[in-house]
Amino acid sequence: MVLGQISGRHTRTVGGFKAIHYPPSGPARWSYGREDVISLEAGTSAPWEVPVARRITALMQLPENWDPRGSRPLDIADVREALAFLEKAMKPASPLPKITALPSGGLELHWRVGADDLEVIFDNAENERVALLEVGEEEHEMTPEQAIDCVDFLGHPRLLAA
Amino acid sequence: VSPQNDSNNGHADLADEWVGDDVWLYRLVPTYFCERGDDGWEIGSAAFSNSTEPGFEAEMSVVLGDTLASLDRLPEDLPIFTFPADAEHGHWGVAKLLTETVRTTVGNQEIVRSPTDDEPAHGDVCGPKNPKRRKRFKKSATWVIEPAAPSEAHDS
Repeated sequence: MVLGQISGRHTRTVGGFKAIHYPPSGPARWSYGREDVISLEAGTSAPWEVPVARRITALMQLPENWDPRGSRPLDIADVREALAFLEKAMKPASPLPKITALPSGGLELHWRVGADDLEVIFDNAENERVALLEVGEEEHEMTPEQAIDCVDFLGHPRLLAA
Repeated sequence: VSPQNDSNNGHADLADEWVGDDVWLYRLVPTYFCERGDDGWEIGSAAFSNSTEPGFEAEMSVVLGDTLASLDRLPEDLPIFTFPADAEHGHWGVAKLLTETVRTTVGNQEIVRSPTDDEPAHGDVCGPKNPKRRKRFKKSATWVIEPAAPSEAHDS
């Protein structure tokens, strides 16, 4: 693991291959370079991007079998899909998701705003790509694409219309 | 909790006993499966995934409350008992669920005793755990003790 500053950007490398580059603060923009590298470059000002990058970077440091019950490192394909989802779903005032690694190598995004609860799962290893929305007592299962417009309406009476 | 249940030496008498609906199931939860919130650690649904270890993919390790009590052990002590080397870091918490809740609310899960040499109170919750079920597990679980660590093992 390397933690340093390269060309004005903080960089962490995991296992010598996978990495997310991000600036410590300020505007940012995602870019996809090498197959195993995702970079967050200067360019836009979305407030969610740096904390998300920090969180995913931290999760990507997890080695194989980080859970003693057996687990895999984060799957870069799941990370890409999750970031693509966030790029579409997150608006300037959207709440930050909680981000958790799955033992299978997948990624889980979670929001709770008031009585509204949304989980979006990207897990290629288990062939699970699903969004679970709870509005009060109502449960809805949908695709991540169908959930894109929900994120900005969490906690809003118009959520189900979205 | 080691999912190894192929060695029941000395515990075979326990292994076939039915797990009653009133038995508490304790699940060791590392901070990796949690997010730190304003009110402490919040468990993620991922904490209730099956093992990825070959041969154990349909099982989720738990510690059975009735056996634990018969051994005069406390669930609060499970992290230090199970992962003594990690005790000072406080990266493990213990969540609890009632067997009845797992059977009725989560559904399609079988709870079995699978004592090991390391953990005579070891059990498994067997059955598929898709995202919907994992979420039900999470909603049914409460902390016995939260991880003591102020942040995650991999956070800087």
